[in-house]
Amino acid sequence: MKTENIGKKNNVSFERAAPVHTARAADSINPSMVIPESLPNVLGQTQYIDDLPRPAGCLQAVVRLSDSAHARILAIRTEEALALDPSVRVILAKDIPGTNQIGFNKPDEPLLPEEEWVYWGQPIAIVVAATRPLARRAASLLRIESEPLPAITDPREAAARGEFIFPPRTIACGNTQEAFSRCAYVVEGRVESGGQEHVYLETQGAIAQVVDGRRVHVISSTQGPSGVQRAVAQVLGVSMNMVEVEARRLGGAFGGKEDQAANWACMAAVASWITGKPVELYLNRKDDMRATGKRHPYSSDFRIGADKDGTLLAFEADYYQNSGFCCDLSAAILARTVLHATGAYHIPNVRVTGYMCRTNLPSFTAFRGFGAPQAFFVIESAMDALAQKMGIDPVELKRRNLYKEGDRTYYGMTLERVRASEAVERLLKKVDYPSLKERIAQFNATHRLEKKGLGLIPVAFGISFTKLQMNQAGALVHIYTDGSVMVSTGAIEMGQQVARKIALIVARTLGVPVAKVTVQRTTTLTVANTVPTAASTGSDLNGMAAKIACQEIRGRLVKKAAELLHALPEEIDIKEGAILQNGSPSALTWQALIEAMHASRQDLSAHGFYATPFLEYDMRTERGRPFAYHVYGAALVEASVDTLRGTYSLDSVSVVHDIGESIDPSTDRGQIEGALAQGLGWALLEDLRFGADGRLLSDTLSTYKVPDVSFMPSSIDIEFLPPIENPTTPYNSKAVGEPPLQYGIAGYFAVLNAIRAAVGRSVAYYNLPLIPEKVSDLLASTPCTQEPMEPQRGQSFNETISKKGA
Amino acid sequence: MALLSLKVNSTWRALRSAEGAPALDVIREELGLTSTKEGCREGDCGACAVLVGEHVGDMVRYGAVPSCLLPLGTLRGKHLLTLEGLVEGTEDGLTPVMRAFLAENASQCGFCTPGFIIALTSWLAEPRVPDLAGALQAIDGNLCRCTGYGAIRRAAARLVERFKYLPLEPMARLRALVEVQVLPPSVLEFAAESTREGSSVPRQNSETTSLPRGEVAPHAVVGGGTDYYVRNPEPEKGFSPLLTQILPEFGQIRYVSDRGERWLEIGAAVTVRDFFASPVVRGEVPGIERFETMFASTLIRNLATVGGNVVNASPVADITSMLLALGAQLVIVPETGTEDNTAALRLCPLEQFFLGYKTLDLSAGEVLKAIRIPVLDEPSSRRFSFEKVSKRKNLDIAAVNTAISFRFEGGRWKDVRVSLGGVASVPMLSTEAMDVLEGASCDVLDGKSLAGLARKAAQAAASSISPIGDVRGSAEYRRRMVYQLILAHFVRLFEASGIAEELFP
Repeated sequence: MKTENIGKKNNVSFERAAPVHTARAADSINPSMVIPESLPNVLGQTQYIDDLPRPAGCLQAVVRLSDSAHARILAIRTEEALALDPSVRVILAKDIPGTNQIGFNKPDEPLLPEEEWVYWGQPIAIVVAATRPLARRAASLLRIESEPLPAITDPREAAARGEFIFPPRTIACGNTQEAFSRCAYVVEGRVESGGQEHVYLETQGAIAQVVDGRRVHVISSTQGPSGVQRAVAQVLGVSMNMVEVEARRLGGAFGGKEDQAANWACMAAVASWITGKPVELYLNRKDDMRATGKRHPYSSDFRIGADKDGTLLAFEADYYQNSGFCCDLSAAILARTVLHATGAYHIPNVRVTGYMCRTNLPSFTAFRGFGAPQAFFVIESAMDALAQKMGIDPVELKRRNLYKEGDRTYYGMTLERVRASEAVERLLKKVDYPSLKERIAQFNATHRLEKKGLGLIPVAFGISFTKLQMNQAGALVHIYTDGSVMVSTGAIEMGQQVARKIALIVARTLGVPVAKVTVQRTTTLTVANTVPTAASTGSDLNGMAAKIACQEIRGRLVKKAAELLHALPEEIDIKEGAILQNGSPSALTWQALIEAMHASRQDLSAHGFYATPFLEYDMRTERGRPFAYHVYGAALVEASVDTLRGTYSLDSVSVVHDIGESIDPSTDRGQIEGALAQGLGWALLEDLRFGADGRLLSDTLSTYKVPDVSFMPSSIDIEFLPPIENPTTPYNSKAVGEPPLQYGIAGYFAVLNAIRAAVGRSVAYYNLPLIPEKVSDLLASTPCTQEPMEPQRGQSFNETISKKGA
Repeated sequence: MALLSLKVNSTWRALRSAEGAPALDVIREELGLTSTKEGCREGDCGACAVLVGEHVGDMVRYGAVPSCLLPLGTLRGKHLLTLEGLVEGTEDGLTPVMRAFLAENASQCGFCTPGFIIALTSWLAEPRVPDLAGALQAIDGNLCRCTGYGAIRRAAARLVERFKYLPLEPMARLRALVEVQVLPPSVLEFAAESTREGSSVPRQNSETTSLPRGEVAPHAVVGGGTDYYVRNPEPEKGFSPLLTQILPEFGQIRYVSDRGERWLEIGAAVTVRDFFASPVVRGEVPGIERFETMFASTLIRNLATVGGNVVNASPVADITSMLLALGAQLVIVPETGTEDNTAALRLCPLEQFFLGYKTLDLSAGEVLKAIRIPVLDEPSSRRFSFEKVSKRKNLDIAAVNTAISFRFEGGRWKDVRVSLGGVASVPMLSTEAMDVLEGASCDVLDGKSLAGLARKAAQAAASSISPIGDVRGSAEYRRRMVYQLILAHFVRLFEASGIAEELFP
């Protein structure tokens, strides 16, 4: 352990963690020079929405939520609420000045319901008052008369009734029917995956203020300021140039604030418009959990077949996505599902169909992974079931079928720089898989009350928004006359440290020390028409836009420097703030160059714009190149099951991950660890539960548990694959936010395999999260605990393995 | 309303807010200390953690608590520290805990970070040799949704390495921590202010240090607040409950003799932390400390009270389950002044206290003062075990819990008590399992006969209950877990007998 580096006041120095890999290009960025953006965090000085100084006269808004899943509104009586305090105002759908609609992919999402509410927890009125407790009390005094209507919560029931948000989407390749007839082994089954609550620590919120009587300023905890701007303009009935939306640092988002931050910003804006006062709306945890969308629950069917050697020949799947009450981002999420159906495996004959099932539940929305984790869980379940059927180690089956260089996917994309096998082989070597397997077998043979299991998942995750038009970004770069640099992009800083990456990219491109660069907050004034910071693309897109802007300014600087040094532009280089001529330091300083630029009336600012090249996709034929590139990787999880108590613990995780050439290894490692925790939580712990009546039962953090420090394994070993060329991103880096979330799925299979070791036979059970209760259910059918109390075997884990003749 | 004096960071403040206001609201809204975050308002995330210093005997001690569940009135005369106060007097504006977070890149979105820094600062203030396990336990009530805890673990490891040589004597420890700027100078000021005779430190008003006399107080009684404020997160303005934590006679652990029997009496306001830390409790219930971390989190244990756990009447309350097995009796007193009126106290066996779901044998005007555990002639002969299953191992409410207490006399089971939680509308004893075990002959090394007995007891316990299903577990699961956890008691207590091999051949 190194000693701590004590910095000076106002100039805090710090050490970074030891780099995870050291193979770096000679001119690579040195992250130790970054001023830590997290400095205000550790001082508690970062101001999230509810920490901001409130403007004078600021009112507080709360929402009144519906208390059933589906009902016709007969009357909303406000008298009692209004009588509570003169500051109380109640805002209903009829009061919305513009269009009561915030659904942009499909106009099916009113800000407030007019005739009926369609899920339990839907905001039906905004109540404003001088203080939040007062507003909450007033909201509880609204008298709402309603008439119950039937509700659907199950996606398959919705599908049976034809309740689809958009028609089903099928991607097919080859002839699965014919291929299955050639298979030596065919397995089919059902896979269930639960929803997942984001639990961003900062709940949703916004502050809105009408300025000069007609312009609106909104500070929103959002991943997509432009989306909020458009929604606010629409509900107010004003043009977008009358609305400024600003996003500061977010207290976590994970997709939950991609589209669904707009609701609360719009409500604050409407309330401010109507009252003429600034309005803050900051949800408490319970309202946030009840009202907002989560990761989509899926119910899926699969069929998979292989020849006698275990080479995959065919795969079919039907994904019943529980979309909730409206479209929101469900279509794009389903697109990512059907584009990740085969995981990291090459399968020649594929037919997959996704159904967007409308139910009376909150509108499920973006959550890190965005439909891909559900697809990965299905294909990994299918591979597991097939290996069980064949009686071979799933790891062998997986190795045999990984994507290879030049493989053409079932949607017609030819894969380049494929690293699936490289990742898996490196991982197996690193953990010494044969001896690890032996050690586990030994342990299980000698332990009665504890059994261990392993799970491995390979990942190939496509990077780019699946909606083509979203793959664009802008950046604004200024150099001020003192030589300091400001950059503002569409990228929202929400903990993923995109600001840090962009600062490093800007410093490297301009040739200044990173201490000279500051990344300012995102507002619709500096960069317009941004896409949300999402799909792992934040630093790819915005980093490239910033790089382009910097290259433009740098071109002007080099020309000016050549002029001042009487040299040719080709002889000039700028590095770490030094002006080099033919590789040697010149007499010209950065400061002098900037001053000379200004004195000669040259532009020290630039706007950069980037659109990811080479993307194309034909929705009609379902063929094309929807992704700029893929991120590869593999993870192996070891878990132990306490067979007496039906509980489990995670022993260790090993990861080999393709990060390209990391811009900041410490940030990337943090992203992988964080995604892994969320993936493990989704697979094993986080139990989002709705009642049959549509009520969210797990609506608090005491009933909805997310990973804590002791849930996570004490040993997490992360290794980066060596750098590789990746032309569509800044400096050959790779997106990192979402791909590692799939690693959590390996945890599911580690626990399942430990259960198998305990019960001594094959168990086909694919229903996440694998909470202790389910573990206990599975163990209860074991000879070990076949006591007088033997429970009923649940219907849900009947095996569906069938054998077909060769 | 009387002013409420407390030291906020380096300044004594007199506040007008109600005694029952959640401290979090006062800290953020009135004091403007926004480093303290609201994450969930039920003590499940730790974002609102603050450090509270108090005078205990000749010493000052500091502990982290969730301020969302902290009744403001309990801070009277105490020292409240937030991040704004921790950095006071540091040479570079950062404490070593903060620097460790920066060095390891352990803050991503940053919303949870202040709570982690408070919890780890509190851990360093504990007069123990710092180790990683202790550091991780200290943050078992803090949620981080960004980092996956890897970088936070590394930051904690850095602190373990740096601070392994801190003094163990409490006051020397505090001085050393101020020296290395983990704690600010205001800590030593507070210690001096509290100990100085006739100092200007506002003492607790005499009328609040004992129960109000001569009138039946209609207001609520709040212990630690860790259950109360979960149910009532935003109490009415002016909410002024009776706070048992400011009543000294509610905070003692002592031996009492009553009608020829000896009891260990635990004041209702004794915190769960102090309960498990008490050498007396550990002496009477050998091994009880092993089960401490199965109860909630460090932050909650620093605040929650033993009496509160009982009176909250959760069917699955962990401490209550332990106390049931220990044969506890409740000491109930009228709310109207009692210190010189022992005749007014009423004793109630714990198992008779719960009349129905959240219905107690406690009238308006009565308050739980203490819990008594019968003292054995040979305390070391007591065998005790506690078991619990929940979705997450730490800070999660059990689906089912159970405790067992007994001793052996002449080769037979004696004074057997088996409790069950989460299987009925109230925490209960399993008289069926107790009947199986009481008087049974026993050879602690005979795994075969122990296994048979375990199965019989487990069967008796599991077949006599009618649990319901809810979000924490189905009825069938709960019944099965009762069976399994009774076996687990046996496996835990008779490991050397080879019972595991007998139960699971």
